[in-house]
Amino acid sequence: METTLAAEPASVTGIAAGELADFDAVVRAHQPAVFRFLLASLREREPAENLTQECFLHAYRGRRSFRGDASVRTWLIRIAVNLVNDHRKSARLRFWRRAAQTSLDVAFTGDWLADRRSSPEAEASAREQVQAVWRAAAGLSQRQRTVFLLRFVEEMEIREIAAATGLQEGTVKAHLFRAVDAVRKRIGDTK
Amino acid sequence: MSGHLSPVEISEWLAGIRTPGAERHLAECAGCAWELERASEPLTRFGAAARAWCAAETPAPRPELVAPTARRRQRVAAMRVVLAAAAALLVAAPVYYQHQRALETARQDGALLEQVQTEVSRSAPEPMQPLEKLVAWNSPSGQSGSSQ
Repeated sequence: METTLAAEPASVTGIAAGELADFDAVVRAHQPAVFRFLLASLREREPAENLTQECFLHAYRGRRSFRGDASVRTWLIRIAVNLVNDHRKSARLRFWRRAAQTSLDVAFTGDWLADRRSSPEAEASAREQVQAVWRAAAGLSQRQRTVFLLRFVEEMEIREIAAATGLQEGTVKAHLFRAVDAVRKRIGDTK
Repeated sequence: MSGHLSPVEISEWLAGIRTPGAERHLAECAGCAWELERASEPLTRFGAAARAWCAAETPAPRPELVAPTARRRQRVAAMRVVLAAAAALLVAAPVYYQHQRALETARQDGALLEQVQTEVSRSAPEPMQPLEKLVAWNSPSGQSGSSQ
Protein backbone atom coordinates (compact mmCIF):
# COMPACT_ATOMS: atom_id res chain seq x y z
CA MET A 1 0.00 0.00 0.00
CA GLU A 2 1.32 3.37 -0.90
CA THR A 3 1.89 5.80 1.89
CA THR A 4 0.42 9.26 1.79
CA LEU A 5 2.73 12.09 1.04
CA ALA A 6 2.87 15.05 3.40
CA ALA A 7 -0.38 16.99 3.15
CA GLU A 8 1.21 20.40 3.40
CA PRO A 9 4.35 21.75 1.82
CA ALA A 10 5.83 22.35 5.22
CA SER A 11 9.17 20.74 4.56
CA VAL A 12 10.42 23.70 2.61
CA THR A 13 12.55 25.85 4.85
CA GLY A 14 14.46 29.11 4.45
CA ILE A 15 13.19 32.52 3.45
CA ALA A 16 11.74 32.99 -0.02
CA ALA A 17 8.65 35.08 0.54
CA GLY A 18 9.85 37.50 -2.12
CA GLU A 19 9.39 34.87 -4.81
CA LEU A 20 5.71 34.65 -3.95
CA ALA A 21 5.11 38.37 -3.43
CA ASP A 22 3.56 38.71 -6.87
CA PHE A 23 1.31 35.70 -6.71
CA ASP A 24 -0.42 36.55 -9.98
CA ALA A 25 2.95 36.19 -11.70
CA VAL A 26 3.48 32.85 -9.95
CA VAL A 27 0.16 31.61 -11.30
CA ARG A 28 0.91 32.79 -14.81
CA ALA A 29 4.36 31.23 -14.78
CA HIS A 30 3.49 27.84 -13.32
CA GLN A 31 -0.12 27.15 -14.22
CA PRO A 32 0.79 25.31 -17.46
CA ALA A 33 3.16 22.91 -15.69
CA VAL A 34 0.75 22.25 -12.83
CA PHE A 35 -2.16 21.68 -15.20
CA ARG A 36 0.00 19.47 -17.43
CA PHE A 37 1.00 17.24 -14.54
CA LEU A 38 -2.58 17.04 -13.28
CA LEU A 39 -4.01 16.35 -16.71
CA ALA A 40 -1.45 13.64 -17.43
CA SER A 41 -2.05 12.15 -13.99
CA LEU A 42 -5.84 12.21 -14.00
CA ARG A 43 -6.52 12.02 -17.74
CA GLU A 44 -9.64 14.07 -17.26
CA ARG A 45 -9.83 17.72 -18.09
CA GLU A 46 -12.39 18.93 -15.55
CA PRO A 47 -10.76 17.45 -12.44
CA ALA A 48 -7.41 18.63 -13.77
CA GLU A 49 -8.73 22.18 -14.12
CA ASN A 50 -10.36 22.09 -10.69
CA LEU A 51 -7.30 20.68 -9.00
CA THR A 52 -5.11 23.25 -10.75
CA GLN A 53 -7.22 25.95 -9.18
CA GLU A 54 -7.17 24.18 -5.85
CA CYS A 55 -3.41 23.81 -6.08
CA PHE A 56 -2.91 27.55 -6.41
CA LEU A 57 -5.41 28.28 -3.67
CA HIS A 58 -3.51 25.90 -1.37
CA ALA A 59 -0.28 27.57 -2.43
CA TYR A 60 -1.70 31.04 -1.80
CA ARG A 61 -2.97 30.12 1.63
CA GLY A 62 0.25 28.32 2.51
CA ARG A 63 2.62 30.77 0.88
CA ARG A 64 4.04 31.81 4.24
CA SER A 65 5.21 28.24 4.81
CA PHE A 66 7.28 28.40 1.63
CA ARG A 67 10.89 28.93 2.63
CA GLY A 68 12.67 28.38 -0.65
CA ASP A 69 14.51 25.11 -0.08
CA ALA A 70 12.87 23.87 -3.23
CA SER A 71 11.94 25.92 -6.27
CA VAL A 72 8.46 27.40 -6.51
CA ARG A 73 7.71 24.93 -9.31
CA THR A 74 8.77 21.95 -7.19
CA TRP A 75 6.74 23.28 -4.28
CA LEU A 76 3.65 23.65 -6.49
CA ILE A 77 4.12 20.20 -8.01
CA ARG A 78 4.33 18.80 -4.52
CA ILE A 79 0.98 20.34 -3.69
CA ALA A 80 -0.38 18.96 -6.97
CA VAL A 81 0.95 15.47 -6.16
CA ASN A 82 -0.83 15.58 -2.81
CA LEU A 83 -4.03 16.79 -4.43
CA VAL A 84 -3.92 13.93 -6.91
CA ASN A 85 -3.48 11.47 -4.07
CA ASP A 86 -6.34 13.00 -2.09
CA HIS A 87 -8.52 13.18 -5.17
CA ARG A 88 -7.98 9.54 -6.01
CA LYS A 89 -8.86 8.53 -2.48
CA SER A 90 -11.94 10.69 -2.18
CA ALA A 91 -13.35 10.19 -5.64
CA ARG A 92 -12.17 6.61 -5.93
CA LEU A 93 -11.02 7.36 -9.40
CA ARG A 94 -10.19 4.43 -11.54
CA PHE A 95 -9.49 6.19 -14.77
CA TRP A 96 -6.15 4.57 -15.15
CA ARG A 97 -7.61 1.12 -14.56
CA ARG A 98 -10.59 1.44 -16.83
CA ALA A 99 -10.78 -1.07 -19.59
CA ALA A 100 -12.41 1.51 -21.82
CA GLN A 101 -10.38 4.46 -22.92
CA THR A 102 -11.31 7.89 -21.62
CA SER A 103 -12.03 10.69 -24.01
CA LEU A 104 -8.56 12.04 -23.39
CA ASP A 105 -7.01 8.68 -24.16
CA VAL A 106 -8.72 8.85 -27.51
CA ALA A 107 -7.63 12.46 -27.92
CA PHE A 108 -4.03 11.62 -27.12
CA THR A 109 -3.20 10.13 -30.49
CA GLY A 110 0.43 11.05 -30.53
CA ASP A 111 -0.25 13.69 -33.15
CA TRP A 112 1.66 16.15 -31.04
CA LEU A 113 5.06 14.84 -32.00
CA ALA A 114 7.46 17.70 -32.38
CA ASP A 115 9.49 16.20 -35.22
CA ARG A 116 7.49 16.02 -38.41
CA ARG A 117 10.41 15.92 -40.75
CA SER A 118 10.57 12.12 -40.76
CA SER A 119 8.91 9.85 -43.30
CA PRO A 120 5.21 8.97 -42.92
CA GLU A 121 6.19 5.43 -41.90
CA ALA A 122 8.61 6.65 -39.26
CA GLU A 123 6.05 9.15 -38.05
CA ALA A 124 3.39 6.47 -37.76
CA SER A 125 5.82 4.28 -35.86
CA ALA A 126 6.71 7.14 -33.52
CA ARG A 127 3.02 7.87 -32.97
CA GLU A 128 2.43 4.24 -32.08
CA GLN A 129 5.35 4.37 -29.66
CA VAL A 130 3.97 7.44 -27.94
CA GLN A 131 0.54 5.91 -27.61
CA ALA A 132 2.09 2.71 -26.32
CA VAL A 133 3.95 4.63 -23.62
CA TRP A 134 0.74 6.50 -22.73
CA ARG A 135 -1.13 3.20 -22.37
CA ALA A 136 1.75 1.56 -20.52
CA ALA A 137 1.77 4.40 -18.00
CA ALA A 138 -1.83 3.49 -17.22
CA GLY A 139 -0.68 0.15 -15.86
CA LEU A 140 1.78 1.65 -13.42
CA SER A 141 1.09 2.09 -9.73
CA GLN A 142 0.16 5.60 -8.73
CA ARG A 143 3.56 6.38 -7.30
CA GLN A 144 5.43 4.88 -10.23
CA ARG A 145 3.25 6.87 -12.60
CA THR A 146 3.82 10.07 -10.64
CA VAL A 147 7.61 9.81 -10.74
CA PHE A 148 7.46 8.66 -14.37
CA LEU A 149 5.42 11.71 -15.41
CA LEU A 150 7.56 14.07 -13.37
CA ARG A 151 10.70 12.67 -14.97
CA PHE A 152 9.69 12.40 -18.60
CA VAL A 153 6.91 14.97 -19.00
CA GLU A 154 8.02 17.60 -16.50
CA GLU A 155 11.70 16.76 -17.09
CA MET A 156 12.47 17.09 -13.42
CA GLU A 157 15.75 15.92 -11.93
CA ILE A 158 15.75 13.08 -9.41
CA ARG A 159 16.33 15.46 -6.50
CA GLU A 160 13.47 17.67 -7.68
CA ILE A 161 11.17 14.66 -7.88
CA ALA A 162 12.28 13.69 -4.39
CA ALA A 163 11.45 17.18 -3.14
CA ALA A 164 8.12 17.21 -4.96
CA THR A 165 7.02 13.81 -3.71
CA GLY A 166 8.62 13.84 -0.28
CA LEU A 167 10.47 10.63 -1.11
CA GLN A 168 14.16 9.83 -0.69
CA GLU A 169 16.18 10.09 -3.89
CA GLY A 170 16.95 6.37 -3.71
CA THR A 171 13.24 5.59 -3.44
CA VAL A 172 12.51 7.83 -6.40
CA LYS A 173 15.13 5.99 -8.44
CA ALA A 174 13.67 2.64 -7.42
CA HIS A 175 10.13 3.65 -8.42
CA LEU A 176 11.40 5.21 -11.61
CA PHE A 177 13.39 2.10 -12.49
CA ARG A 178 10.31 -0.10 -12.03
CA ALA A 179 8.23 2.33 -14.08
CA VAL A 180 10.75 2.59 -16.91
CA ASP A 181 11.35 -1.14 -16.96
CA ALA A 182 7.61 -1.87 -17.03
CA VAL A 183 6.99 0.67 -19.80
CA ARG A 184 9.88 -0.65 -21.87
CA LYS A 185 8.64 -4.21 -21.51
CA ARG A 186 5.15 -3.11 -22.47
CA ILE A 187 6.46 -1.30 -25.52
CA GLY A 188 8.43 -4.39 -26.40
CA ASP A 189 5.26 -6.47 -26.08
CA THR A 190 3.34 -4.20 -28.36
CA LYS A 191 5.99 -4.02 -31.05
CA MET B 1 32.12 -4.10 -15.75
CA SER B 2 32.09 -7.02 -18.18
CA GLY B 3 30.04 -7.28 -21.36
CA HIS B 4 27.39 -4.94 -22.71
CA LEU B 5 24.63 -3.26 -20.77
CA SER B 6 21.68 -5.51 -20.05
CA PRO B 7 18.08 -4.29 -20.61
CA VAL B 8 17.78 -3.93 -16.83
CA GLU B 9 20.94 -1.82 -16.70
CA ILE B 10 19.60 0.34 -19.50
CA SER B 11 16.36 0.84 -17.55
CA GLU B 12 18.45 1.64 -14.48
CA TRP B 13 20.39 4.22 -16.44
CA LEU B 14 17.19 5.80 -17.74
CA ALA B 15 15.89 5.89 -14.16
CA GLY B 16 18.96 7.78 -13.01
CA ILE B 17 20.72 4.82 -11.41
CA ARG B 18 24.13 5.34 -12.93
CA THR B 19 27.17 3.40 -11.87
CA PRO B 20 30.74 4.41 -12.77
CA GLY B 21 31.14 1.06 -14.54
CA ALA B 22 28.13 1.65 -16.79
CA GLU B 23 29.28 5.19 -17.45
CA ARG B 24 32.74 3.98 -18.52
CA HIS B 25 31.26 1.30 -20.71
CA LEU B 26 28.88 3.71 -22.43
CA ALA B 27 31.80 6.03 -23.15
CA GLU B 28 33.66 3.20 -24.86
CA CYS B 29 30.88 1.12 -26.44
CA ALA B 30 29.09 2.73 -29.37
CA GLY B 31 26.66 -0.21 -29.55
CA CYS B 32 25.44 0.28 -25.99
CA ALA B 33 25.34 4.06 -26.42
CA TRP B 34 23.16 3.56 -29.49
CA GLU B 35 20.99 1.04 -27.64
CA LEU B 36 20.55 3.49 -24.79
CA GLU B 37 19.56 6.25 -27.19
CA ARG B 38 17.10 3.95 -28.91
CA ALA B 39 15.60 2.96 -25.53
CA SER B 40 15.22 6.55 -24.38
CA GLU B 41 13.66 7.73 -27.64
CA PRO B 42 10.05 6.63 -26.94
CA LEU B 43 10.20 8.17 -23.49
CA THR B 44 11.57 11.44 -24.82
CA ARG B 45 8.97 11.47 -27.59
CA PHE B 46 6.23 10.69 -25.11
CA GLY B 47 7.29 13.60 -22.92
CA ALA B 48 7.43 16.02 -25.84
CA ALA B 49 4.07 14.87 -27.19
CA ALA B 50 2.47 15.06 -23.75
CA ARG B 51 3.80 18.57 -23.21
CA ALA B 52 2.57 19.75 -26.59
CA TRP B 53 -0.80 18.11 -26.11
CA CYS B 54 -1.23 19.50 -22.60
CA ALA B 55 -0.22 22.95 -23.81
CA ALA B 56 -3.05 22.79 -26.33
CA GLU B 57 -5.43 21.59 -23.64
CA THR B 58 -4.40 24.18 -21.06
CA PRO B 59 -7.30 26.52 -20.38
CA ALA B 60 -6.91 30.25 -20.07
CA PRO B 61 -6.26 31.11 -16.46
CA ARG B 62 -9.50 31.75 -14.62
CA PRO B 63 -9.85 35.27 -13.27
CA GLU B 64 -10.36 33.96 -9.76
CA LEU B 65 -7.25 31.81 -10.20
CA VAL B 66 -5.00 34.46 -11.69
CA ALA B 67 -5.75 37.24 -9.30
CA PRO B 68 -6.21 35.98 -5.78
CA THR B 69 -3.90 38.80 -4.69
CA ALA B 70 -6.00 41.43 -6.43
CA ARG B 71 -9.20 39.93 -5.06
CA ARG B 72 -7.68 39.89 -1.63
CA ARG B 73 -6.64 43.52 -2.02
CA GLN B 74 -10.19 44.41 -3.01
CA ARG B 75 -11.58 42.54 -0.02
CA VAL B 76 -9.08 44.21 2.28
CA ALA B 77 -9.93 47.64 0.83
CA ALA B 78 -13.65 47.00 1.28
CA MET B 79 -13.04 45.75 4.79
CA ARG B 80 -11.02 48.87 5.56
CA VAL B 81 -13.85 51.10 4.39
CA VAL B 82 -16.32 49.20 6.53
CA LEU B 83 -14.00 49.28 9.53
CA ALA B 84 -13.32 53.01 9.05
CA ALA B 85 -17.04 53.70 8.87
CA ALA B 86 -17.65 51.65 12.00
CA ALA B 87 -14.80 53.40 13.82
CA ALA B 88 -16.10 56.81 12.75
CA LEU B 89 -19.54 55.84 13.96
CA LEU B 90 -18.13 54.66 17.27
CA VAL B 91 -16.29 57.95 17.75
CA ALA B 92 -19.01 60.20 16.39
CA ALA B 93 -21.95 58.67 18.23
CA PRO B 94 -20.78 59.55 21.77
CA VAL B 95 -19.67 63.02 20.61
CA TYR B 96 -23.03 63.64 18.99
CA TYR B 97 -24.84 62.29 22.04
CA GLN B 98 -22.75 64.48 24.34
CA HIS B 99 -23.36 67.48 22.14
CA GLN B 100 -27.09 66.87 22.15
CA ARG B 101 -27.07 66.38 25.89
CA ALA B 102 -25.13 69.63 26.35
CA LEU B 103 -27.65 71.46 24.18
CA GLU B 104 -30.53 70.00 26.18
CA THR B 105 -28.83 70.93 29.45
CA ALA B 106 -28.23 74.44 28.17
CA ARG B 107 -31.87 74.70 27.11
CA GLN B 108 -33.03 73.45 30.50
CA ASP B 109 -30.62 75.79 32.26
CA GLY B 110 -31.90 78.68 30.17
CA ALA B 111 -35.49 77.84 31.02
CA LEU B 112 -34.62 77.52 34.70
CA LEU B 113 -32.77 80.80 34.68
CA GLU B 114 -35.68 82.49 32.97
CA GLN B 115 -38.03 81.05 35.53
CA VAL B 116 -35.76 82.19 38.38
CA GLN B 117 -35.45 85.62 36.77
CA THR B 118 -39.20 85.86 36.60
CA GLU B 119 -39.51 84.83 40.24
CA VAL B 120 -36.82 87.22 41.40
CA SER B 121 -38.19 90.19 39.45
CA ARG B 122 -41.47 89.98 41.34
CA SER B 123 -41.64 92.53 44.20
CA ALA B 124 -44.37 90.62 46.05
CA PRO B 125 -45.34 86.96 46.29
CA GLU B 126 -47.78 85.80 43.71
CA PRO B 127 -50.84 85.76 46.09
CA MET B 128 -50.23 89.43 46.96
CA GLN B 129 -49.75 90.65 43.46
CA PRO B 130 -53.36 91.85 43.03
CA LEU B 131 -52.85 94.12 46.11
CA GLU B 132 -49.63 95.38 44.71
CA LYS B 133 -51.46 96.32 41.56
CA LEU B 134 -53.93 98.24 43.63
CA VAL B 135 -51.16 100.10 45.48
CA ALA B 136 -49.38 100.84 42.27
CA TRP B 137 -52.61 102.16 40.80
CA ASN B 138 -53.15 104.59 43.86
CA SER B 139 -49.58 105.80 43.91
CA PRO B 140 -48.57 108.33 41.21
CA SER B 141 -44.98 107.32 41.51
CA GLY B 142 -45.97 103.69 41.39
CA GLN B 143 -44.35 103.13 44.80
CA SER B 144 -46.12 101.64 47.77
CA GLY B 145 -47.35 104.15 50.29
CA SER B 146 -44.41 104.04 52.68
CA SER B 147 -44.19 107.84 52.60
CA GLN B 148 -47.86 108.18 53.48
